[in-house]
Formats: sequence, C-alpha cells, structure tokens
Amino acid sequence: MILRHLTFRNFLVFYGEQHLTFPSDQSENVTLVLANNNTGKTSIIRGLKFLFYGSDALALSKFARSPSAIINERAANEAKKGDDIEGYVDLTFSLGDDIYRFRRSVLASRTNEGLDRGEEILSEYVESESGAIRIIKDSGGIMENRLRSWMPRGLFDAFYFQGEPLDGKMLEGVGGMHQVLTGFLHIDKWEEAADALGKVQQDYERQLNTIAAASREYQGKLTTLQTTEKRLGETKAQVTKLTLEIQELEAREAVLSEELKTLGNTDDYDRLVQHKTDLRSRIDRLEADIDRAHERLGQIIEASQGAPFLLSAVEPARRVLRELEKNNVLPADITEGFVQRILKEKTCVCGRVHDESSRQHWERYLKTALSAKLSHRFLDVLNRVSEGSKRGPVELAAQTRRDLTETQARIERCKKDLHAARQEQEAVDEQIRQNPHTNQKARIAEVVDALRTVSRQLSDAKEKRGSAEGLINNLTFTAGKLRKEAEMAKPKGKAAAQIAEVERAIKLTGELREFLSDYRISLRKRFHEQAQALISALYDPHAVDRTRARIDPNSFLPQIINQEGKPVTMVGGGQQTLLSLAYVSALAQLRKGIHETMRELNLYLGKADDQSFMVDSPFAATDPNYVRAIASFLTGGARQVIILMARQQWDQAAQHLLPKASKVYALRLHSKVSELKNLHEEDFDFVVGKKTLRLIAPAEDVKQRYTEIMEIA
Amino acid sequence: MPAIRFPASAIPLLSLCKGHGENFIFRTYADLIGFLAAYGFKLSADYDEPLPTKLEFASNPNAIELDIFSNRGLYSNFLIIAMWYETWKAYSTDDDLLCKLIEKHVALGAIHLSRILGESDSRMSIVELLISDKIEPSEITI
Repeated sequence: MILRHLTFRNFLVFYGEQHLTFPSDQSENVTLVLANNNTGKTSIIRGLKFLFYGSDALALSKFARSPSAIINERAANEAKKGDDIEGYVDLTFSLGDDIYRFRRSVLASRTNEGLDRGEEILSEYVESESGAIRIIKDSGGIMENRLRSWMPRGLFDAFYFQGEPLDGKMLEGVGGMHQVLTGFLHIDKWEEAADALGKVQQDYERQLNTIAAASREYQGKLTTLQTTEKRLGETKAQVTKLTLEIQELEAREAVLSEELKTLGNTDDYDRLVQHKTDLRSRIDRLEADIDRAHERLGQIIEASQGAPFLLSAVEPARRVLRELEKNNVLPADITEGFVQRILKEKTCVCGRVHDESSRQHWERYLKTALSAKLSHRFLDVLNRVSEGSKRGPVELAAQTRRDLTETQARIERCKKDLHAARQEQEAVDEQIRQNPHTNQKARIAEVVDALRTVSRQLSDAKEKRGSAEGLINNLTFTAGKLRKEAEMAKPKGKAAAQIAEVERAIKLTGELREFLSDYRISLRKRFHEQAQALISALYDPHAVDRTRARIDPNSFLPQIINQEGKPVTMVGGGQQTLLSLAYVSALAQLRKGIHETMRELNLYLGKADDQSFMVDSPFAATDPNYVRAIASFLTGGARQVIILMARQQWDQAAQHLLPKASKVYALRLHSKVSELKNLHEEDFDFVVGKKTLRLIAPAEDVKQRYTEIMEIA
Repeated sequence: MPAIRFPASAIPLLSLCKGHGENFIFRTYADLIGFLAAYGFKLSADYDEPLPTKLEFASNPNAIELDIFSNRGLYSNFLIIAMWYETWKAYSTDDDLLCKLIEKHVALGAIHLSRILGESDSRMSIVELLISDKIEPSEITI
C-alpha cells in the first residue's frame, strides 16, 4: 500500500481542510513532516487509523463512545446551535496498479451541550472512465472488510508506528507472533481452502454414487475404490502432518545445534586446554631431561675415578718414574725374579761358576731391579702421568670438569625452562578457570540432552512417515487396479458421460488439495529462508557495530547476533529501531512475494503491494552512528517513508534526511500567547537548509489552538 | 691375597652405591673406594688433613681384593698416591702395605664426604668438589 494524498478536515488538531501529498515514485519516496511535540504528529497516524478502522480504534478514552469527538474543537465551537458539522479523513492510496480513495467522516450536530454523538460514515470515491466521481457508501461492512484485508489491524502498528515498534502488538510473544503471521501469510485461508475442497470432493463422490446406483456391479467396485481412496487420502494427510512435524523438529534441532555450536564455540577454551596439555608435555620432558642430566652427573663422577683430586700426586709420580728411568730400572730389562733364579744356579749366565764377585754383582743389581709385575704397573702409571696422556689423571680431571660443567649448565637451562613453563601453566589454569565455557558445561549437557530427544523424535517421525509412504504405494496400486475394474463395470451411454465428468471434477479437486498440502509443507521453510535473506540484506549493511540480524527458525522473531553468532542481549534504542524497521520491511516484502506467487497459481488472497511506512520520532535514544544508519535505511531500504520529526531529533538527523526528502511539510501551531507562558518561541524553530522556520503562530484572537499543515519544500 | 677393607666411616656413603639407593652413583663398592681414596689423598696432600691412625672396618661389605681394583683401572691411582710418599718403594713393592695406606685415605675421604653429604644434595655437592680447585676442609676430628 502506497499513500498518495491525505486530507484532514476538522480532524483532531487540524482545523479546516489540511492536505498532505506523498511522493510515491521508487526514487522519490521520502516525506518529512516537521513538528514540535503536541502539535499534531501523532494525529496524522491517528487519522490513518481512524480511516482504516473507525473511531473505536482510537484508544483514547474521550473518543471511546462518541465519534464526534474526532471533530476539531475550534470548528466545533464555531458551529452554531443546530448546525451540522463534519470532520473527516480522506485517503488516496495505490495497491499495485489500482488507485483507491476512501473517506471516513463523522457528521455531528451542534446542541446546547456541544456536539451530539455524530454518525460515522465510510465512503469510497470511484472515478468513472469519463472522469466523474461516484461516491459509494459502505453497506453491510463490505468496504470495512476490504480496507481491513488490505491493512490488517495487527499490522497497522508495525507499518505506522509511534516510537517503540518491537514493543507493539505484533511482537508481544511467540504465540502472538504466530497468530499475526498466520493472518499475515493467509495460512488460515489455506486451511479453509483445503477444507472447502474436501467438502466439494465429497459432494462429487455422492453424485457419482447416485449415478452408479444403476449398476450393482459398478456400484460395488466404486464403493471399494472410494474406501481405498479415502484411506489413501487419510494416509496422505498423515504423511503431510508427519512432514510438518518433521519440519518443526528439524527447525528445533537446528536451533539446538546452533546453540550448542555457540556454547561449544570453544575455540578459546580448546586452545587453552591444548596449550595446557602442551605445557604439561613440555614440563614432563624437561623434568625427564633434568633426571637424565642428574643421572649423567653420576656417571661422570664415577668415571672420574676422583682424578681431579689426584692432580697433586701427578708431579711426584712423574719424578719417581723419571728417576727409575734414569737409573735404567724402568723398564725392567732383567727382573728381580730372573736375578734370583741366576743366584740359585751354580753357574752364572756367562757359563762360569759363580764366585763371590759375581754373586755380589748380582745382589747389587737385585736391590735395584723391579719385579715384572711392578715393572708393568709402573709402566702403566708412566703412561698415565706422561705429558699429553689421554688416560691419566690430568686429562681425566679436565674431561671430568668439562663434562660436569656442561651437564650442570644443561640442568640450569632445563630448570629455567621448567620454571617458565610452570608459571605459564599457572597462568593458563587461571585463564581456564575464568573462561565462560568452564561454567557452561551444565547448559551444554542440557542442550545435548534436548538434542538427543529431538533427534530420537525426528527419527521416529521419519520412520512413521516411511511406513505411511509404503502404505500409500500399496493403496495407490490397489486403487489403480480397482479403478480399472470399475472402468470395466462402468455403465454405458448417457450415464457414462456423466460419470466421466464427475470423475474429472473429483480428480481436479484432489490434485488441488494435494498441491495445497505440499505448499503448506514448504511454506514454513521458505518463509524462514526468505525472511532471513531479507532481514540480512536490510539490517546487516546498516549496522555500524557489525552485528547481524537473525530470524529464529522456530519463533520467527528477529534477534541481533554478534560476529561470533552469539545473541546480543544489550541492545540500544538505535539498534532496536533499525532491527524493527528491517524486520517489518522484510515481512512486507515477503507478504507481497507470497501474494504474487499465489496469484500465479490463480489463488487470490487479496491485494498486497509494497508497503509505505510512517514512523514517528525514530531517532529517540539513538547515538549518532545509528541516526545515520536508520536514516540511511529509511531513505534507501523502504519503498515509501513518511518520517515525523520532533524538534529535539531534527538537529542530529537533518543532515542525513534533508538531501533524500522529496517533500517537506511542517506543522505550525496557532495558539494564544497566554498559553505560551512556559515556552519560548525559539523552541519552535527548525533550521531547514539555510532557513529557520518558527512553527508557532501566536495570536490573541485564537480561542482554541489548532495546527496548520504547511508545505515548505 | 691383599685386599682393601671397607672403613666403617664409609658406611654412610653406601647409599651412593648401586643396590643401596635409587640415585646411586657408583656401580661397585670398588668404584666408591677408589673415589674416596683420591678424595682422601687431596685432603691429606693439599690440606694437610692427617690420615687416621686407628681404623675400624665394616664386616659388610667385605674387603675388596686388589685385583678387582686393577680390573677397574683403579690400581694405577693407588700407585700414584703411593708415589707421593717418600716411602713409595715400600708401598709399591708390598701390596698389603699399599692396601693399608689406601684404607687410611679412604677413611679420611669418607669422613669428610659423609659430613658434606649430610648437609646437602649428594650429587651436586660431589660435583662442586670435583669442579672446584679448592676445598674448604672443615675441622675433622679423626
């Protein structure tokens, strides 16, 4: 529904006739209405509500029982006793290619006590081809119903909202939402249509039975066939029901899986746990290294043979050995044992008999000679203590010290690394303790449990559907066979032609029922997919904090999620407004899409078109970033927008809205000066471009305040 | 057969040997004896610690025959120690005498080392002794 012209006559604050014309082209779609508080912004929305639903819909106590209460006070006071006075709202709008004009008026008479109750009249203004206007008054509420089908009552607050859209009736809860969506998407009508088709089919079957009564055999076959087909229909209905149930369960499963994914989005936690495991391995490795190094120290100590302690003995030993070498004792060329054997003999080694001299000579030698064993031992020592020996205490001491120092350094390094690793481990333990995932285990368990239940139910439902589908195959086969038999037994002549006609009607009705059944199954899924795609396209590019909009697949309610996919619970006014606008806009587009699809299928659900939006003060409690985002959305994302701007929001939003506005109206208040004692005239100043508009016209002669609509750009 | 007896003062150090503790250093008693003899020598030679005159020996472990030391390459060290003394010839030609000399060094080393090890981590203390050129001998009453 695109608004074109709106006229008020003596309606609420509007005295006399006041007009608003709204640009409706795709490229020129923004209208601004500037007004101070309490000067008529809300009266514009009330005017639309009055037009669509009558004075009863204006939820103000003073209007509750008297339609004439909508008549402007000044106009009412100016009327003389006995005069008739009229107040109305006149709206021209388009739906697709068609243009409509409706007027709802209240005609009241002036009495001594003021206006009488008045009469409320709804009329349509129809232009004939010749250009003449014909006024048609509503009769029997037909016009009321048309208007309400084009602008369902439940949707009005969403399209023409005053402040907090998501707080409105449309979104008061999942149940309420479902009810609204049912009406919004005409789901109730589909069910009505399916029921009606069922009744039509039964009528046809009754007709067929009447014709068939002429042939007993044919009637018998037909009865069996109809019983089989009835059972077939019931089984198909069962499959439809199960399929819908499966869709519900799959949606529930998806929600739970999503939550589990969010809860189980434990990248940080997993990383920490992995880090802790790595650290534990590193600590174990370092501890093992230290143990091995200690073991190595023991091996070095043992292998040292205490050599570093013997260094003082090396030089004396060398001296002794040098002396022995000098005296030709070492190495022992003739050992002590050899000398003793010679002395025991009668003759010397030279063959002469021993005499005193030779014996003395040998005994002198004996005093200095070494045993063979001792000679070997000294030679071994000599080898060890010689300069450059690899086996002696000097080299062994040096090697020992090198090995020990190196191993000690290795131990120190390992200990240092171990200390660092343990400190890091403590830090990681602390991070794990503070990680929210640690405390989410209970919820994860619940979700996993619920997921198991849903999966089981899903599996059961699928199994039942499988069985039902098997039964359908059998019944279809049986029905086919019976149909052939019935065909054979079918009466001939005129009756045959009648039967063929009725059968064709039954077949068509059945096909239509099946189509509706299938379409209902896919509707829910399609609705969610399309709503998600639309709201993503409408919200995501405008969200300055890189949040995203998500449609819950179960409730269809919108929510805001952060970059990690987690719901954002602390939502500011600006974000909320942007989300609401995107959601309502997405629903409007979806509704239009469904209407078009149904029209292609020759199912007429009433008219639906692109939707106009009228928003009252959308920038309340909004930070500058969202002012820009909302302005950008309104002026680019919606088909037609009428923005009612209060003085206090104008300064921050003007720069974003003015360049996009095709029309700018202002509401000027005419008031007594005395009524302004607590106000300053400057409070009514709006800066529009280079001009300053003062939206108040104080005058002494004005008895009752009223508002004038001025077109300013 | 000449053999070196196990000084009673070395009993506390048995924990350094395999079979007496998890963190052993010496796989045989002979290795411990050889090490203690060298340490005792340093104390005596470099720090004038007197060799004990009266020794007591443990009945267990048994005395270790000199050949065993030879087989483990420790006999040379004993001879090197012996050659430090003026009476080296007597020690080197008489194994029994050599054994008695070594027993005294072992006892001295054991007394000192037992005291050190009683205070701190055995392995690291020994490492310190081996690396450091200087040993701060405590007053040892033998």
